[in-house]
Order: sequence, then structure tokens, then C-alpha cells
Amino acid sequence: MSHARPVLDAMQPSEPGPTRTAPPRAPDGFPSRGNYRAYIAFGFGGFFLFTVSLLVLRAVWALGNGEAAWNRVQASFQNPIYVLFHALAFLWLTWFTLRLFRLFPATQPKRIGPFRRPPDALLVGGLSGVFVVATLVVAAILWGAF
Amino acid sequence: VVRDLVVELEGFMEKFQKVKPFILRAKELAVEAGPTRQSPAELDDFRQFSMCINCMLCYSACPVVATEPDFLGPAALALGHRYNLDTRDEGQRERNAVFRDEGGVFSCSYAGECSVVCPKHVDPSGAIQQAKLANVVDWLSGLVLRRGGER
Repeated sequence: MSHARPVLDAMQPSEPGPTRTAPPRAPDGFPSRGNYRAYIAFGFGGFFLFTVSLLVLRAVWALGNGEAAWNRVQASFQNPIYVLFHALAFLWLTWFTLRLFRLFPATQPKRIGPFRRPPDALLVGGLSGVFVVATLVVAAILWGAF
Repeated sequence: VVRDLVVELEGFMEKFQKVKPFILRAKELAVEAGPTRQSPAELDDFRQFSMCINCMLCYSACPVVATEPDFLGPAALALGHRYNLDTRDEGQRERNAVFRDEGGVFSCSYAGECSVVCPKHVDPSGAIQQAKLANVVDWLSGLVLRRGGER
């Protein structure tokens, strides 16, 4: 006579039945709540990155096709729709970049080599400061200040 | 959540096992060798990521979990990263292979809501981003060094 205890699986239902597993579903409040809004907007920034990249490629392509082609591209930059698009893209990408810098500290380990990670405020402030200064310098150059 | 305080863990436990959430050693130390010591600073590197209570709130909040069934998810990846940071562990290469695979850390698109809802302030999204960086470094060092990626 065996005295071995039966092996029981506590997670096993006492009798077979339909599975209780719920199908995957979107999180509650998605995408209108809290972090999700910024998450979706951040992803949408890819549209501007992609479009601006195409416009830069178009300009580079024109550069290789003679002066007339280049002048046509230059003239198209004065189109009000393009100016509006560029202003929107500038605002969006500025927000995109500053948000990226705000998220940056959490992506870094607490220790980098033998050193402690600098304070979050220093990392965010430093990166954002460099970005703002670089943007102003480029804007001044394009404006003809130098 | 299936019902109040009843959380659906099916599938999670398999994902949990994939990240090998335990100390891996290339060679077990003899008992006579004594305990493996760890400084408070070394403990502090991963302590936050070891506070998970498996409440699954992060899975409910994650938009990637909802759309990508193979995604290992915030809690499992954070716990895997916790062991990668543990100075007593030598299983980084094994875990990083899982992390880099389909459904690993690079499936995370950093919505960050898992860290917002976490009742223990584990910050799984931070752990996953750190694991991404560590994996890029591991992969790059593997290109240069014969056995890159090992500590």
C-alpha cells in the first residue's frame, strides 16, 4: 500500500471548464488618460521627423541637378503652407526633444562605471540647455546675424 | 484583473521563467568559500527593481502587452534586469539573449504608464530602458571582444 501523497496543483481548477483567461485588451483610459496622451503625441512626432527628412532629401537631390532646380526648391520654401508646416514641425520637434531629455535620466543606471549618476535635474537641465543654445545659434546663423 | 483581488497570471509565469529570475553562476561556489559579499552600494543598484509584488498592474497599464502577446512585459523584464545588476550573478549573457529576442526589451515603446501605476515604485519602464542600453553595449562589445558582454 502506497503512502505517497498525490501531487496537487493549486492553480488547477477542481473540475474542467472554460478557461478563465481574459483576452488582451487596451489599458483602461487608453489613449485619453495621463501618460498615454503624451505617448501618442510623442509617436506622432515621427510624422514630422519623416516629412522633414524627405524635404531635406529633396533639397539635396535638387543640389545635384543644377542651379535652376535648386532655385525652384528655394522658391518653394516661401510657400505659406510650407512655412506653416515648418513652424508646426519646429514646435513639435522642440517638444519631442525636450520630452526625450526629460525621460533620459531614468534610462541610465544608478552608477556609470565607478561614478554615481549625476542628479536628474542636472542631466535634464544640461541636455535641454545645450539644445536651446544650439537651436538659437543655428537660428541666428540662418537669420544672417553672423 | 479577473475579479477583485483575483489577477490572471496565466502566461505571465511562462514569461517570468524566460528571464531566469534567479542567481546564475558559471560555477557554484563551495560552501566552505563562505558567503558572496555585496556592498550596500551594489545592493542599492538593483534594490528598487526587486520590490515587485507581481500585482500585474503594470501589465494592465501597458499598451504593448495589449497588442503584442509575445511581449515579456514590464514586471518580468524589470526582474530580469534586477538579476543582471546583481554582482553575485553571472547570467547576463543568457538573459540578454532573451532580452534581445522577439518580445524582449526592444518591443517596449516607453509609454511609461507601468511606472506610474506601480504601487511599489519599482519603475519597470526605467529598468527596461536601462536594459536596452546595457544590451546595446553588450552587443557592441560582443563585436569587438571575443566574449563580449560578460562582466
